[in-house]
Amino acid sequence: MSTVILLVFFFLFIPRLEAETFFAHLIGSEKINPQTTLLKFSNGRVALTDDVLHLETNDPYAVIVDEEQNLLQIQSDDKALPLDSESPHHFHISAPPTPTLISENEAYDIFNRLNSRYKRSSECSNRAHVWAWEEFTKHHMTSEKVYVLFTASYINKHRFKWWFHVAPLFSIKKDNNVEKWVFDFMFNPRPVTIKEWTDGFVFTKRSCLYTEKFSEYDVNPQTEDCYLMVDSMFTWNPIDLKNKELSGQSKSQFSRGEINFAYKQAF
Amino acid sequence: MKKLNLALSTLFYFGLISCGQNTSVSKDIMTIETPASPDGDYQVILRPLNNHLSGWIPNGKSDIKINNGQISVYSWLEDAAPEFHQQFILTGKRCPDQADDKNGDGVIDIREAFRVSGKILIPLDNNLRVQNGSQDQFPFGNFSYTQKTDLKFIEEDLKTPDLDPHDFFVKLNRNESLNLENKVMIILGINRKTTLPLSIQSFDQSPSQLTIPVVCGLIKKSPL
Repeated sequence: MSTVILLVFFFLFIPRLEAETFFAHLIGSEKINPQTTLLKFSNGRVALTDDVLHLETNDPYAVIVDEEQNLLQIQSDDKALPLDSESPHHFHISAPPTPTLISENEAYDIFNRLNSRYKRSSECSNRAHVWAWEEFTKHHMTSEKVYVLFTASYINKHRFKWWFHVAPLFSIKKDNNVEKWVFDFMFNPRPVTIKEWTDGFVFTKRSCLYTEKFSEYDVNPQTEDCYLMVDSMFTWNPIDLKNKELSGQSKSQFSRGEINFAYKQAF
Repeated sequence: MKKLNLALSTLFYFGLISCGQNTSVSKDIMTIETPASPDGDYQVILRPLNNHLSGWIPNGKSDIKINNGQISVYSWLEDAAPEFHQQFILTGKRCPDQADDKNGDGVIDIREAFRVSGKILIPLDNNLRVQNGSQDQFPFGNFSYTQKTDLKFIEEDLKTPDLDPHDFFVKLNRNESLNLENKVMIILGINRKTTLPLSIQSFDQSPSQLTIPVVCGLIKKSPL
């Protein structure tokens, strides 16, 4: 390696600040402090702004942020994927499907056959949905989804890019116990425990607080870094968790529309 | 290939070769191992390392195609720091993990990575033909990287003498074919403003931040 040339290149180059554009629906906003507002979008991304903006929740926007998630520009744009293609007949009130119990060996087999053809900048909810769908339809494996929901204080402190992340969750028979392992093919080289999984995103390594109610996360005292929710494989993103709490109804099957969207965006 | 040619010549000389597909002459005498064709599609899932230093969760993929003596590499990296990212194919067969942080400073530095993932075989820079190019340039920030060349140029260069066996680069043996399968691909570089423990070791006189591994993956041949 030509060390001299490389070093000259390293030192003389003035680092560029990178701006990033994404297209998504605004899901909600909350004040982090008297000046700063956190905007949460349907694709999991966030933006922080000190400006007073008049934005409509659920509307689609084109958003430009800098590398520290500061909002540089936002304008209406319908390039974002639809928020929810679900029709009411896919919901029910009964218990979610029981996850298939698998052995450790099966777990590794499943992990290694997960679809690796995901696209650059694919969204976690779409990858997770396709992985769960393919295991269910091709191999009759019933899984769950695990959601990690980051608090505004954590996002602000670490200038973290996302307000949530999701991956498939499988139930593993181990000795006489059942363990839950996360199958996040993009970020982990093998199935991992929920704590190992969250440690990859929660730089403080604090455990996330488990909750069954989205509202506990949505209106939280900002004393935690993150919350955890587990729900059925039919859920697509946290909006489903929120709707479930509001309506008392859960999704009872995969929606062809959502699966199509998930494939189109992520694979 | 040269090894095979030499072996075939020897067999012709002794009149042992048959016309069949099977190159085994006699199990008791000798067996010629035909090197597997390097042709095919390879994929690398690049998963994050040291993400607590990156601030984000870097991730990427690389697609390597070898076909009729041509090699093309397409890689992308997302959620990466706005810095130059050295990317290498290493000789080892596994990526480092937290257990390889031998000095316990919480960071897998490049020396710790080299220890388990091997030395640098191919720098994925702007000139794949030579390991030690004079104007090597690596991609910057979130990047898409594409390079294509004749495989023979890479192999010829990798079979030139290793002028410094003690550095972090390694050459092939004269009769060794380039086999990418199960080798490690690694990409380096966090934001140079990041404060690092003094225990971090760098290499090649680069600033420590620019040699911190951020993603790593194994090169896997895709099934036909």
